[in-house]
Amino acid sequence: MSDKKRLTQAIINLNEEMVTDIVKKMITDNVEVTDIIDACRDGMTAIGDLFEKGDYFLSEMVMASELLTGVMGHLKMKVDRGPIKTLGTVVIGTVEGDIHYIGKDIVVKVLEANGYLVVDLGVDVSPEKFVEAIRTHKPKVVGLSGLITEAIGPMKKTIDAIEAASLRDKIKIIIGGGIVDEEICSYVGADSWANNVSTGLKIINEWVGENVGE
Amino acid sequence: MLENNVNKILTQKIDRIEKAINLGKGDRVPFCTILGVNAFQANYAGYSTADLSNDPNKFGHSKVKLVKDFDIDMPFGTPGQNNTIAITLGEDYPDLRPSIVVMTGRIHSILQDKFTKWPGQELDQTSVPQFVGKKFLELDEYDEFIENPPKFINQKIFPRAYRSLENTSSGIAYGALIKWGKELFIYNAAMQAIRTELRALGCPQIITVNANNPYDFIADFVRDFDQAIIDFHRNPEKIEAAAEAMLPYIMRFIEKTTNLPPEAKKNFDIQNPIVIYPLHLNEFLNRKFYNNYYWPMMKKLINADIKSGRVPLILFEGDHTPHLETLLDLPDGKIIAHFERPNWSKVVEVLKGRQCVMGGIPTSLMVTGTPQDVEEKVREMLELFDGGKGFILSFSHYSLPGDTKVENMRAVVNSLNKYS
Ligand code: B12
Repeated sequence: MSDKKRLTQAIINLNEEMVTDIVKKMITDNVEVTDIIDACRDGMTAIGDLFEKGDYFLSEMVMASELLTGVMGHLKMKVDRGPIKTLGTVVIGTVEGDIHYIGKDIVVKVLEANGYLVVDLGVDVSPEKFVEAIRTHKPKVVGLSGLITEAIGPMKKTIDAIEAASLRDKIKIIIGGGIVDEEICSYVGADSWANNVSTGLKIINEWVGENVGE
Repeated sequence: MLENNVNKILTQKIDRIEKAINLGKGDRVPFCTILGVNAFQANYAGYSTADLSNDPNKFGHSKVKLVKDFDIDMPFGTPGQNNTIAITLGEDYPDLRPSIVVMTGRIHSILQDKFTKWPGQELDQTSVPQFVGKKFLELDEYDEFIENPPKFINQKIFPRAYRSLENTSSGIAYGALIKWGKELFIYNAAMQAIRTELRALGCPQIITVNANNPYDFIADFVRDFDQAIIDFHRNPEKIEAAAEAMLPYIMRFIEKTTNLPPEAKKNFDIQNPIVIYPLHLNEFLNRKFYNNYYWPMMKKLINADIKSGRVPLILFEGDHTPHLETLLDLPDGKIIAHFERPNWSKVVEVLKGRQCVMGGIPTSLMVTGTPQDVEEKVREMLELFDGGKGFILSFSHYSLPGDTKVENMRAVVNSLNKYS
């Protein structure tokens, strides 16, 4: 089996030791970063499928996200030595008043594994912080996460602030999390919504294919 | 006359509850609510959620109004969040039980804890209080915790969790402790007053205590939620030993809180105490973690309860369907199983006739539905349980949103009276 396939399998099995060993070996062997990331992406996709089928539980989703954090850490060291191509920048955060991050972190890891440069602002992020991050990082896409009903207001406030800063037409905005739906999406003024990571990724890929804001 | 009437209602309600727990049905299926500070209760009584968080008497008034207007048989819930990290303080000072584990808006403002947020403080006047959690123990400190949980909690966690106790030998800290005690006194008096008022309405008083599976205690108050899940993967022996180490303290808390002297017992109408366990990690854990770690611990608590004549009321948060069959390990008719959003037909298949089941009305339906929708839902639930045998009607969750329609609340009781 190729290292790439072995890495995918090790991620699916949540075998941390193996994941670390293979990634280190691939880095030493000068494997393209994008190949390593591809292998991670395939692993995450398979884990998502196992979750849908009920074979994996949320405990596996959380651990997979933790594993990918580790992999990205190793890759950063490599990436620092030379630039890699990214599909584009995504700024993401959980909106003000909401501190749930498990779902958002999974989205971050999956986007990274799919070649995006992700700026993760964390949780309880104020509209001002989003605006500032958009100015600094010039993302193609902004993702707002929210799981509690009380997050709907702040989502709207954030998008209004982006609008007021004249940044709205430069970006696409996607909202995600347990509460969001079509109605909330139009209420807060987002471009789209997703309550699972694969839909979110599909939408963002479509947007970036259209070269948003460039 | 009036007194007679109250006694009649009381007897009727006691019968309802006891029959339901014993898998039967009295004159009607009981209506139970487990509501902390929630926006509907506040709005309905003309208060803000900040009022209910800061004044246990206002919480009391609003609760009594709810029970009276909507004929609630089992109104559980306290005006706060949990401060369970303080549970071991009951070891040295038994009379601090049970209120020592309660966090209210006032106690929060005194202790300045980092794990809750409150309306009128960090949140606006009309928000509901929030539990946000935080990590208070690093991985390499597990052994120290396991060695002696109260010592670690007292010396390390309190200063980390409560800003006011950051420097334990400061005036701020001493003052905060005095104020905390004073607040507990006010709180206890208010709870006592609520009980008296409720009883005067014919609402049976039940000895209750809130408790946690030690794994949930570790996840919510010690390690932080997602770290605890990662510990299950990476260091299962550590989290297991920590949970084991906490178990005796939790068990003792339950035992001592519910084992009242005869003169105190007189104030209660149902002799079997109820232990409310809100489960948190349950939905997250895979079968291996659930079956090898979490559930065996739960069974220890449940078996101790059964042995001492207590009834565990277990709130299975989220979708508990994948773990349902483990409940067959228990002797029949000994617990109340409250489900948030399970596959109900699976619940019926596994548990009907074996354990008393509780739940049924999604709180979202109370906001978005019409009274007809609510009536249909109640009818449907009762039908699932053969007209409501061994069933207690309740909401899916412990917070009723502010936009809950009053006519929907009425529809709950009316439908119960109509169909059961
Ligand atoms: C874990 C948890 C907590 C933990 C949070 C741990 C953490 N740091 O994240 C703790 C204990 C701290 C917590 C606290 C609270 N919680 Co909470 N919590 C949950 C729980 C059990 C799981 C959430 C989760 O992680 N799901 C798993 C992830 C993978 O799913 P997800 O977040 O939906 O993410 C997926 C998609 O939505 C999507 N996605 C997510 N974000 C984004 C963003 C973008 C851009 C895209 C494209 C996609 C996307 O992709 C993800 C992967 O597929 C849920 C109940 C449940 N079972 O869902 C309640 C729940 C979310 N909590 C709830 C509540 C009410 C609270 C509290 C207010 C409770 C309280 N009264 O104290 C506080 C709120 C604190 C705050 N200010 O935010 C409610 C919300 C109800 C509502 N509608 O308002 C829920 C639904 C429970 C319930 N039934 O009542 N909670």
